[in-house]
Amino acid sequence: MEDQAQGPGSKVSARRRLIRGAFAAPAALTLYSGSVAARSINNCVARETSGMTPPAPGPVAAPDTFVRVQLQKFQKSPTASYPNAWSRWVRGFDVSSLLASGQTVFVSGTSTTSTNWYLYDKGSASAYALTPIGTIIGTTPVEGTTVQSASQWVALRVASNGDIVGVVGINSTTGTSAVYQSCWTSFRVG
Amino acid sequence: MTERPPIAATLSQAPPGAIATALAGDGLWLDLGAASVRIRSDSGLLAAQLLAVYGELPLITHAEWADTHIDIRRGSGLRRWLRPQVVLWCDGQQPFEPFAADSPLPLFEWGCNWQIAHRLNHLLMLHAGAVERDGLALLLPATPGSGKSTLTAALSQRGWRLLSDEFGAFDPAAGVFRAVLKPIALKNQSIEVIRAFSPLARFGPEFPKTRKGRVSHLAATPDAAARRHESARPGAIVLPRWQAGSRTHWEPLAQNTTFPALAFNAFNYTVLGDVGFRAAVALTRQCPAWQLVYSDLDDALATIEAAWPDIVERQARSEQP
Amino acid sequence: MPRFARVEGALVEPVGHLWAAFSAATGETALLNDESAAILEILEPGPASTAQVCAQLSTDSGIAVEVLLPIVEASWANLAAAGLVRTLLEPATIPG
Repeated sequence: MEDQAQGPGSKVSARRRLIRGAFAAPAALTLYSGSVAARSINNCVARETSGMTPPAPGPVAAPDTFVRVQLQKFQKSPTASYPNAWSRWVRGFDVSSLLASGQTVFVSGTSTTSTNWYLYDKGSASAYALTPIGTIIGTTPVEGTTVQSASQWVALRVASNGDIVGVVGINSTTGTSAVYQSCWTSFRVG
Repeated sequence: MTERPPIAATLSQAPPGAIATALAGDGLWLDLGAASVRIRSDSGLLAAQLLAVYGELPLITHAEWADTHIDIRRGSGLRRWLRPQVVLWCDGQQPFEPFAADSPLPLFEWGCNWQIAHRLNHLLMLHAGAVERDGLALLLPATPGSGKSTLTAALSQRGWRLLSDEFGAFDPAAGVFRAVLKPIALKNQSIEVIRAFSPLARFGPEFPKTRKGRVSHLAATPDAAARRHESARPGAIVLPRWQAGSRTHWEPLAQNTTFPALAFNAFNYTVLGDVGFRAAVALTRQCPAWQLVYSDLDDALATIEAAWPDIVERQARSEQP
Repeated sequence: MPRFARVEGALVEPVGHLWAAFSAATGETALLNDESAAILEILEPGPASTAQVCAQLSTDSGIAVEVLLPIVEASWANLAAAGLVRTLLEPATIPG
């Protein structure tokens, strides 16, 4: 198995591997076409999932997309009563900066403006402990004046026409919200 | 940076009703290693089923992060009472068909696998069993029906640390495999095979009426749960194929066979683009590979065990400066 | 005379006695033999015509250029379909 002994760092020249006196037809066997593989993996998982119908792979009619927005964490200066008070928010400016010119975005029925903040996580011993997730406030959160980017990101759901529509909440049957804790896709940076 | 939840009692040590209370409230977080899942549910059965197969994981009722948020809800309307069902919700969508109301665990397991496979895109998610020994990962990429889960389950009961029976989660930045520790879903006669192989193995309830037949989930060992944040360096690749009545056959594979076996068995190879390509090439070069055709589980394990010391030595040599 | 260029971002790596190739343009992955990989290697510094490629391959293989020409000419479509090469259109010349 000499081919298994190849180290990861060695640079091999295809030209040097050509055999003198012989030249075969150049061959390129496509192994992996992205769309074909996506369908096959979906079928594979579908078989594993006992007939569950998976989401359709690839483009569907007027698909929604997700865009990343960074969470902002507000941390209160420690006090005896609140040694570790924090909350996390989506900043309206980050949302509105994604908008194409002329687009209107409605979040929980309120037009998005740069100065709004949308509560994502009530956090620990926070001033917002009783505030519903998704609440919009027009002022900087009170936990502190220092904004710490939480190195965490959430996904805004954007409709095919560019509107940020969020997702329907689990417990609501009408309306949409771009900020609903249980409905966010979340993924890490780094 | 990976955020670790505070140390807590395990699910098996939790007070009665604590899991159900968490599911009905803000949720139960499962820290699987490379991924975390937040679950909420109004099913009266799910708490006990989760306890049976996730008992060794810490009880976490609040965490700052979850990679995916899953709700298992009882069907609405007539389906709440007439042939009742449970439905999986994620991100406000119901991506899958409902399951019978007495089967919330398999619905959660398979739906969660789907979500993880499509979301953990900072890792190359190979469709493979993965176990660890001596700090090295043994990868078992395979298509369904190849006996991968049975072989992975057997290894996990014989001193190999389970990383996952579904995901070879390779971190291309760090060059290591990470655990996505979930119970192993065994089907039909594989259940009896593993029960006989390891009488002390802990299984969850059996679900007799899935479309794949009978399903039961093998819980991870306490050691695997405790070490789920320990990574494993690439060790070796074995492509298993169970074939009734066959003798054990152990054949080395050329790299041009191994490479497509990895790339074709990755959930997110396309998404990762050149990162996925480079990772698959690196693993192909770094890991010796074999095909294992078998019908006898003990013999299959003995074959792997016999080859392992040379693999460890080879990897140690390659890591020397 | 058309020239051919390696598609930007194409990756070619040896795997055993074959080569794995990735096209950043199409996301496709292919397995190549030495001959295909050698052609891509010749195109790495810049575009070249079929004759120019064959001249270098002749040096490597000892096979006469005129023997190589039809073989290489027939391979461009396959390599283009794999997303690894593209044809450079010659600029039109204005008569007169």
